[in-house]
Amino acid sequence: MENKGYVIGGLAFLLVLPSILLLMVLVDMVNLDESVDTIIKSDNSFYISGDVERNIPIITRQVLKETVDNTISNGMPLTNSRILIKNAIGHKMDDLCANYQNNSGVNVRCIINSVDSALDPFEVELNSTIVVMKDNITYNRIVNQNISILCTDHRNKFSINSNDSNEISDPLPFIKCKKFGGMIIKNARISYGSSLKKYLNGVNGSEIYENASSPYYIKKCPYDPYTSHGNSTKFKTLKNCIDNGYYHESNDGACLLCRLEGRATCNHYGFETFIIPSNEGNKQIIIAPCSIDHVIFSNKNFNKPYPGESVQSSNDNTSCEIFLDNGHRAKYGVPDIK
Amino acid sequence: MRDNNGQIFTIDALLALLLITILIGVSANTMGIVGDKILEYSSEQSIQRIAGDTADVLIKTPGEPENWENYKYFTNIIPGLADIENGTNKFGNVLSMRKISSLKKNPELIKLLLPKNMDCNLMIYPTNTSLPVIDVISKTPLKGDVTVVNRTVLYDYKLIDIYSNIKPDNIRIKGSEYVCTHSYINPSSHKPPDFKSRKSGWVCAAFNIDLEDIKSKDFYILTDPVRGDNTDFHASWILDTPNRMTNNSQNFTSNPILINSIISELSENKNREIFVLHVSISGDIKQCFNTYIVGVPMGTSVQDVRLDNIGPQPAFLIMKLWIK
Repeated sequence: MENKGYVIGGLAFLLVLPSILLLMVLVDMVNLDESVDTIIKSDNSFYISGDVERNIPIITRQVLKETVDNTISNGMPLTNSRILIKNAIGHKMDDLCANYQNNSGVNVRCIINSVDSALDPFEVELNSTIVVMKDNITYNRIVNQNISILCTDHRNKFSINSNDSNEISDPLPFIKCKKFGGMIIKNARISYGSSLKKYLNGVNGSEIYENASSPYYIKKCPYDPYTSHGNSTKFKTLKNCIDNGYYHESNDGACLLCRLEGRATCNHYGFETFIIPSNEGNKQIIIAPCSIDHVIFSNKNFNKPYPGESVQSSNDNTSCEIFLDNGHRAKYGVPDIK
Repeated sequence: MRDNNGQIFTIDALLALLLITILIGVSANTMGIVGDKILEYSSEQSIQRIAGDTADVLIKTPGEPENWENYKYFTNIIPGLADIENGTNKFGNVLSMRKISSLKKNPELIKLLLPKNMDCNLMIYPTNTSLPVIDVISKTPLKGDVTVVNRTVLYDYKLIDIYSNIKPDNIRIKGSEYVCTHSYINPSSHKPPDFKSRKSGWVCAAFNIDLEDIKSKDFYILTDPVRGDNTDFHASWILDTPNRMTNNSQNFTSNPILINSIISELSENKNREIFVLHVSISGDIKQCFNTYIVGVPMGTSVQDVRLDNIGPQPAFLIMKLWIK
């Protein structure tokens, strides 16, 4: 055996085995980078998804503002406001997602599933799906958000600041009356000129609405409960509400999305505001169409605006007169018509 | 090997055997050491993974159910500290102070996120050193290996509720200013400020408070920046209601102003009361300040009523884990 070298050869082979094992152990210990890399990619995708989600309310408000402004400028109702707004938001989100793709290489998509009225009439509900893909990691979730149409949330210091570019206006008066001409916007109020009287053509007492006015921006009334409007000397709180141009929650009034379609009433929980006859009007008129926007702008083919009786509210310097039916009198704490 | 030469092993073979024995011995020892190191490493990685994942669950998720901090009994609850509003993590990794307080009162909830043989200590250190350290779970680590996780977070001290927030910037835009009830009585003296001609004026806002909150909270007026007595223009404020107007103005101080007595006096015991805050400010935009009406749980120390506690504050969340 020794002459042929079997002993030494065999023993030398035995030496090689442990060294191979040692080498394999060393290689295994070094090969850990892959799992850390996976964690980093996963975190990045998660944060980008959060960024996209936080941009949705901002872009939604921009789209709502643009859509309302366009409707006001052309006076034409939309056929399907929900679909149009959903598509517009979708386009803007696609642009935003393309930026992420270019900057970070992460493939992110935001699919807007639906836009609809929320339970709160001053909010819009948006449902979307966010899909993030990076190499072999995919992250997706369905997001449901309620987005305020008001310019500020005073309870949140970090909400969007109030300025003219963020306040959303009421499109309904322009859809109904713009074609009659003479409407102007001054000091955050719509002055109808003769347009509203022409719109109400043939309705008893409609002449009182010559040079009427109503609020331009949608602002939520803080005088809640609403019965407090009437529970004040000379209805001072009501007068102050009218001067500030506030909107009130209403079962009958249309929501913002339906207002864009030219509807004064809808199945959703909406809002309403006062349309104020001019002080220059005929003081002899005691009964006239009820001074609530969804009453005046209701579909005349089905419901003529129902009448209300005069309510005078004043402060120490000025007064104003509106017309309310018993239903709205009860709502705003004003005594019923006897 | 031939028996007749009297040799059993050659010297080569002996040397080779000696070498092999040494090498095998060293290899075995090394493999033993490496094996121990691998075990130690995987054990460390395992604890670090548990620590990282537990911190992730606490920071990134609101818990299950999302409003678990409002529950009286904590069965079938998974704790999470992320602040969720309207279904979204609004500001990204903001922790809710209410959830932190609930976890502090019920530290055993953390055991749902940890293996049975592990324990932890959880502290939140605000980057603003004037704010107190929040001791969420205070347990002392045992002697031995302790794994530490350090994350930068924001926590929202939402024990403070803002009822009104007057920002003079808003009134520079026509249409968004509030038409005040006082302007009917004193139209010339209760006008908004005119920053172009540097005329001082009044900025006003209406807000409402539920009767339940009036009975359970302390209310303060805060300004940002803090108003002192050493300014040229003495800003003042009035708090009244549309029905009960008053001209009694009071000056701001450098401390939060407790207004419980005024609110009680004006309250008409309705379910929801309406108040109006009027603030007189200078016509110099550089001297303008924001004014807040805030409510805190009754009995809260006035030292906790501070602007730092309004809105998310940065902090370090430090969690230490060890094997029991």
